Amino acid sequence: MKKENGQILILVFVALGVVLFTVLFVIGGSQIFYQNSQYSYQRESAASLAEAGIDKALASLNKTGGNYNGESETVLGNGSYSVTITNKDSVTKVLTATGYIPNKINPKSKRSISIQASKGLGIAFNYGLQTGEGGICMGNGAIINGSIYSNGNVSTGTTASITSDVYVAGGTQPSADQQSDCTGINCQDYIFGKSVSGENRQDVAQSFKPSIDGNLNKISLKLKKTGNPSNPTVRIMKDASGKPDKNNVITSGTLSANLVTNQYSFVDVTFNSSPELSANTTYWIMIHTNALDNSNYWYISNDLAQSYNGGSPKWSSNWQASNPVWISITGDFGFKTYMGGVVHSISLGNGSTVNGNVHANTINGANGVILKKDAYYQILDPLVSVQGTKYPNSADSPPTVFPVSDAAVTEWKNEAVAGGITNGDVVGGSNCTMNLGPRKIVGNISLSSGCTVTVKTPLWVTGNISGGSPTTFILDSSFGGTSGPIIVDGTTTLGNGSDFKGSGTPGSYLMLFSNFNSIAQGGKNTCFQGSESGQAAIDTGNSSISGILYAPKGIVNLANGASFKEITAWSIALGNNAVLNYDSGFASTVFSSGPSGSFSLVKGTYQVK
Amino acid sequence: MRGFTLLEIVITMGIVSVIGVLLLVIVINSVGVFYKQSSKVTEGLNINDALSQIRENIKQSNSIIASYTSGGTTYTSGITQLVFKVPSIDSSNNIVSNTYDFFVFSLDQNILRFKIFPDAASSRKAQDRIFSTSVDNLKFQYLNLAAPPVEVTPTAGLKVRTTLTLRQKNGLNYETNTATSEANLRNM
Repeated sequence: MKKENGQILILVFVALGVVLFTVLFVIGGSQIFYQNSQYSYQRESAASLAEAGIDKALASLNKTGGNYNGESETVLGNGSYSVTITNKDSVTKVLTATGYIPNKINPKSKRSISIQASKGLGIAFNYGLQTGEGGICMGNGAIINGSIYSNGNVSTGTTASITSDVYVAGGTQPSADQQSDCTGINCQDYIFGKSVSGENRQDVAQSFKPSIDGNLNKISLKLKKTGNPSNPTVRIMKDASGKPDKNNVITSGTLSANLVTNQYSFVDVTFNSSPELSANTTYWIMIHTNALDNSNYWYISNDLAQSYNGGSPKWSSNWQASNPVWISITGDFGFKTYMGGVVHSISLGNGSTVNGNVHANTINGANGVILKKDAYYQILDPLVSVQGTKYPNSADSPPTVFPVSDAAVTEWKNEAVAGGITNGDVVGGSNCTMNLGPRKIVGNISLSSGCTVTVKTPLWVTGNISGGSPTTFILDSSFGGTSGPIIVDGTTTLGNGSDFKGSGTPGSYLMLFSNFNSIAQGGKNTCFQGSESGQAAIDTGNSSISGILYAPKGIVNLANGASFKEITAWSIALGNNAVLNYDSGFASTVFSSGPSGSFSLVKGTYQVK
Repeated sequence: MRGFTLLEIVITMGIVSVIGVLLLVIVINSVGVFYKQSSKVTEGLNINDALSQIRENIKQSNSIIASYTSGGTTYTSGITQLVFKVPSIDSSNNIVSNTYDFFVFSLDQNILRFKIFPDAASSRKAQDRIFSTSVDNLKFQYLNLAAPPVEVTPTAGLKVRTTLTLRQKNGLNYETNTATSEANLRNM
């Protein structure tokens, strides 16, 4: 018999081999997953560090008045970040922050984020045409390639065309129903959105009692700010035992921080809906800030004389707590409430079409009028053909606020004065060329035909601007992608073919801002043509305007065949066959600002690289 | 020459059998544990990667678009589809003003797809990528910036909350993993 030793050893080796293979396979797989997890984690961490670098850079720019040049490597947590800053133009900087894990020299992961920051004022012109109570009157064949938001009536001639949505808001009473303001030494600051003396003032509120039953259409708050706090939310709430009832929010709206500057002014706030309030019932205006921030916060004017008898102010650290604590404040905040009540309508002439949705209390029509999308209304003329869905009994749209605040205009005027003052008229002969601004001109600008004026804004003209056919104003090329205003206290009358042009860089616009008050001159809805319409603030003849026309208290007249891009005015009259071509860049316009301005993100420039 | 006794062989085989069975149990358990754990980790990595990609792209968005049509297919922003526009870039990776590319995240049965439809003037490449093939549920919610945020219509959204649930077979059972992420539209 042959001796065969060692068989069991072979079996043991096979078994050990299987175990070893499995163990190595498991360890190898685990290693791969561990590395993948680490990679994902490091990638996210690097992106967060880059975000932190951007925030730090923006804050540093504002803290140093623009004298911040980035940093090569700053350690933060388990990584580091670097920041580079380059100048895009005179007011815009490009900030690029890169996050590294674990460090810049031997990074296992790195991510970069780039933004542009401008020392300017961001203003959004969201509608092609926006008007106050004066409304809009469109001539025959006028075309609006954009949207309309009107706080007054809208009327069109025959075969007019609007390619986007139309909002006709419910009317607001011209005077405030309730209001509180202060004078002299009784006017005190009340700071919120910040911790003050151990008080975490994240929420402030003011109670009031309407004098009549009706819909609340808007409020105004007397505010100013430090830094760049984000948009707070304003809520109208019912009262519960002398404090805002957190379970009874009637409506809410957003206070646009862009409308508030470092000087006090009343800033309008409109709401998502216009709630019906009852007379002699206590309600609360409650402002909720998004954070407590020692660098970016708010002031509301507080009347220590307590002149308002319909309510009082309070503050809270958390209005949504299970049992919120509201603490009384001595004084009355500066506010105004406006109740509604006037019916507004859109009246469309024969053969007119609207390609977007129409929102109006009353939709009047004629033969061949077509609404290609939905209609929201209370009264609909049977002659109007609605191809979308009809929504009868719809509530009126609330009035919307104009995008430029009085405080911003005051700031521009101060900057113009800082640039120098010219006493007397500025006169230009035929085909003249000249450079103006930034400065204040105490007098008129009178230009003959063919003049071209290059402007460094802000330019403030206390008199009138008049020009022949054509007259061209151009924003200086040094403004790059930012925009600038010409402010005119009087009227502006230009001949055919005139224009207001930006710097030449996309996104740059020149705005003609008219302070002229057509209402005070007997202005009426512009469909009252001729002498009844009152004197126009801006009349540009048959021109092709590529800039922004803005007249918050005035009438803007455009002649037959004129073309333009953006108009915001108390009232607008478009001639026959006038055409509006809205440019999407108007929604993110940045106006250059003077020394008091702060750097902020230019919308549309955030980029992960 | 003396061989093994029968008793020795029986005892040896018994010991070998017991050891063999024990080894087999260890091997089977090891493999089972490996697959279960690797499945969980894979799903976790997938969900993190997918949400990270969604979040990063939303941050760069200018606005959420109601719908976008390409090649006869219309993508509409809603609960399981997100359509938004992002500034186009040039060949140097710099933003091109007033020009936009359209991004779409959509749920196609169990597949999470990501598509880019670049503008003709953009240097960004068209994409049609799959982020996950085991999606059980996908939900986009459109929020404003109020505190607390309020749900609004897609085109009014300034912030998007994404809830993603992945489900895949793990042994005899299914493994389910849900995660939520929020991102603001930084370019709005």
